[in-house]
Amino acid sequence: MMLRQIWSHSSFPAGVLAALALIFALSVNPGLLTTGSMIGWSTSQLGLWTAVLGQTLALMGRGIDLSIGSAVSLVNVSAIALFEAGWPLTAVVPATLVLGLAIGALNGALVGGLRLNPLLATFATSFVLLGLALQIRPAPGGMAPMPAVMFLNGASWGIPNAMLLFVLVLLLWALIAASLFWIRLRAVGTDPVRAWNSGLPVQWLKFGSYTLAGLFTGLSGLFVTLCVGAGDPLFAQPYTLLTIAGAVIGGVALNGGSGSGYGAVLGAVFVGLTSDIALGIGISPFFQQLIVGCVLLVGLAIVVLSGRWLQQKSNAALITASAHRGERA
Amino acid sequence: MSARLANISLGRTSLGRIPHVGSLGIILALLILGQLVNPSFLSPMNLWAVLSVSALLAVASAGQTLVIISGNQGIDLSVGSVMTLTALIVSGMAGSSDAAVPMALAVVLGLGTLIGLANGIGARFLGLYPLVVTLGGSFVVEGLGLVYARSRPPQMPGPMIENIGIGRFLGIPWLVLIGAVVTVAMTLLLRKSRYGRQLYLVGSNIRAASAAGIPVTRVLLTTWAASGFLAAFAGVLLYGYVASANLSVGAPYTMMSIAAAVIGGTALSGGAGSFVGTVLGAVIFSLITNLLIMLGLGPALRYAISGLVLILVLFATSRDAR
Repeated sequence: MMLRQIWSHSSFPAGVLAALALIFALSVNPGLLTTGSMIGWSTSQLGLWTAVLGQTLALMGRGIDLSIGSAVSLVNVSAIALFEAGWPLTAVVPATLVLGLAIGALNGALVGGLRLNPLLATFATSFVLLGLALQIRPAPGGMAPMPAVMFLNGASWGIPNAMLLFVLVLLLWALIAASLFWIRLRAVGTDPVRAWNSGLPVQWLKFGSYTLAGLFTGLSGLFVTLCVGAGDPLFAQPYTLLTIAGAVIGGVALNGGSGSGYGAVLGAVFVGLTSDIALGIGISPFFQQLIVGCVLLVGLAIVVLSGRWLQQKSNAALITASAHRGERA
Repeated sequence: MSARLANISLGRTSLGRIPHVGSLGIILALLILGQLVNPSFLSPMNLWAVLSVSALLAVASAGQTLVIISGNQGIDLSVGSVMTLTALIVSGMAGSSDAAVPMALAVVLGLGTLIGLANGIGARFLGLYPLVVTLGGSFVVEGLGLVYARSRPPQMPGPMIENIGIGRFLGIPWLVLIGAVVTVAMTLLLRKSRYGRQLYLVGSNIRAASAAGIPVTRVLLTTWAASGFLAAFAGVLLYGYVASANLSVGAPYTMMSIAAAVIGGTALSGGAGSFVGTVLGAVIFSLITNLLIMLGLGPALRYAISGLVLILVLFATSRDAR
């Protein structure tokens, strides 16, 4: 029974895929386990791991966020602009989080307040945000303060600081996932009409989910800034696709209401590892995007098809059980 | 949807019954505004330029319109990347001569159709949302472009492609003529053909269509394949128009094609819309862009403002019911 619970858990396929990818990556490049490579790997992935939690929040309330890539880019170039204007780190950190929250609140107001189609509303905001990011910094450049960059690219007690920071992010996520808000948001995602009928403030919950997602976007932008040490309006553009793929592979339902943030992170780990492996086995960087894209599509197909198969199996089991009890199927 | 727009702006007068009166009103307002901003706005040269860009956008939005009408969350986010890939391949294969153009055309149109078909198979058989399939697909197509661009540096187009992009026939730009032919063909396809009628039924209610004996799978796959084909064709036109190919030449067209279709009154819920509406949407979008260029805005701010315009259009036309 216990085993069955594990293997029908929504994040099971992502866990398997991530584990397989990790084993494969280690067999290709055994040097990955050294602290130095772990630092390189975790700092390059930290932004994606954080952003996928924002995508999970949006998806949970039957929304989606197509603006994550542009939002992270905008936070990134804004943070560098603030650094260049002479702001200290202690002021830039809260500023980026406020910017992230504001972007999230904008999406939330469009989806929750004006009841626009989440797909198209966030698609439209992605252009607004990308345009602003390109206006602030048309080409990559700028500098983040060296001590902060050194800290994020460093390690404490042999563990990369980026991983330690991500543990804090996961703690924040655990707080959210244990809250009443989360339960209500899942209810909205499962069936908005029933949630509304039972008295839940559906539009406010959607607004809240996007605003909170903005907090993770802001964090992701901050991490990207401090990991890369520069501003680049296009660096985070693939995050939109990668977070959706990561969340869906991690078992978060595209039509809302089910899945978990931890599964989504596992999915994002898998997504990130595919490009590392592609590089590790010596594939030219030109082919990397093609291969990662194909692996993502195959991963999505596997997760969706296996989910459907499990669903059919459990339906069949229910029917058999009720037949045993002498009920009509 | 466009009828609703018309009612909002004009009340329930007899004007509201003229098709696309809302879009035509916006176009008139933009023309007047443009003339006030810059006296050369209504010059024949500028108007032909706007119409050429509109025709290019209309062709790029043709497949998008079909996919959105087909409903069931249908949306094609791979339009831009297919256009980029076609521009790169035509540039690589044909080079600056005309000899290999027919061959290159056959290859890119076939490839576009295949990409569209693959999107359709993902959406129809794997039960993935079209949004996710085409977003992932665009990632793959961009990757293909990257691989191809590495092996063959892009070149300037030959005289034939360039003539289609910026040349004129009897004083009318080729792009406008092609746009007009596509408009007539698309309208006949949607209004008069069996496929067109089946498409609207599938888009408004797929179960009812299936129960009525309509070959739903065939209609949907045809629609997706047509979308890839038309995007590839638009990519060839785009290559001729900008006279160069780079890795992001088609990227803005994904958003613009959706905007043109939605401004033109194609319902995002599927089952309603017309291609003439999309053409008018493309004209509106191109007029706004032209106006912003005349006001001296850079590409970055124009990006941001076109996003805002899309939000406004969504607000006016497609708010979800509570």
